[in-house]
Amino acid sequence: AGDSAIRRNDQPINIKSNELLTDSTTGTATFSGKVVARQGDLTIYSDRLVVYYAEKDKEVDRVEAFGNVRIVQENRRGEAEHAVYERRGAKITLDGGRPRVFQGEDTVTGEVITYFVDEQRSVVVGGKDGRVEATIKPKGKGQNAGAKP
Amino acid sequence: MICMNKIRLLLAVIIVLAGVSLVTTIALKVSSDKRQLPVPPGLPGNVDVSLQKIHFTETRDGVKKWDLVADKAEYDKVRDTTHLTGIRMVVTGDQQTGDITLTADRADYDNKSRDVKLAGRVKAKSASGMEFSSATADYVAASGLLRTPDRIRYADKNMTLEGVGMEMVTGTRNLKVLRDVTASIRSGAGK
Repeated sequence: AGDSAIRRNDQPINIKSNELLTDSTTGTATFSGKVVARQGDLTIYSDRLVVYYAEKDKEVDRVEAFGNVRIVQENRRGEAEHAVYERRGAKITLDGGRPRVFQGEDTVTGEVITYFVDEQRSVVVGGKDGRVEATIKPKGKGQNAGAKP
Repeated sequence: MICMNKIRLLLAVIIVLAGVSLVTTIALKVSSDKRQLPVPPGLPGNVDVSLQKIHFTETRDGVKKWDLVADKAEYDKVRDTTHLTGIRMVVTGDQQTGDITLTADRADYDNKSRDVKLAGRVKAKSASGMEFSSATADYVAASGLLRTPDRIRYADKNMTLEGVGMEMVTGTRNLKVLRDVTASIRSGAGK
């Protein structure tokens, strides 16, 4: 995953949206309205997306998504109301609403989910009174039983 | 007594002759001037003055805001507007942003509001590497805003983009694209 990570990290981030607003003082570009952002095999859908440039070298430091956030990478999908993608650490933190991560038919829900993009690994935190919930569908057997009327 | 009358009569005749000769001389002079002046090709009805190779400078509170050079300028007194062709306009920037140089086929300069409406292959480039192109663009003097309702192509160090409708504050370079945005942000933008 290492090589593909380096390659994805250096690929441009292609973004489509209704509107764009840049602010040179805060070093941000805010895309709003049906935002779709793609970098390599990773796609982020949201209502609004803010790209933060690093002060020093003007590189993309992080990307923050707000509202109906959906993140898709191959057969993995993450959903929440808010997410932050840190480019250098290649990790996405989902919180807000009831963050969930799906992989195939398996689901994990928690208070905060940190997804390590290049390692295809997630860390789920339950939060004060919330608990982590995971639904893991056994492969194979589960499908046959379900077929009976 | 008769001698006095004759003298008076003589004086009157001399005065009249002098007057007639003066008027004749003036009339001859004016008509000859007209023949020497090259009569400009038929100016459009609403144009009062037509000039070549004109240079405008706009300053505000002693600070130069922009410079504009045009191949040709035609002043329309009725609309108090100067129609320009072959435009090169430099909007002054600061140390960080640098100047913006705009070129266009033609422009209308509103002498009252000092706004400049550029049209025809509008292109902008700045010293800091920003550039955009569109069919038209208006420079609003009061706010230092550059805006267009048209499709634009834009690029700077961080990103390239296309969209429809744009507003840019020339002082800060802050940009708003109003519709249909497609952008590509270089991830290692600083490299």
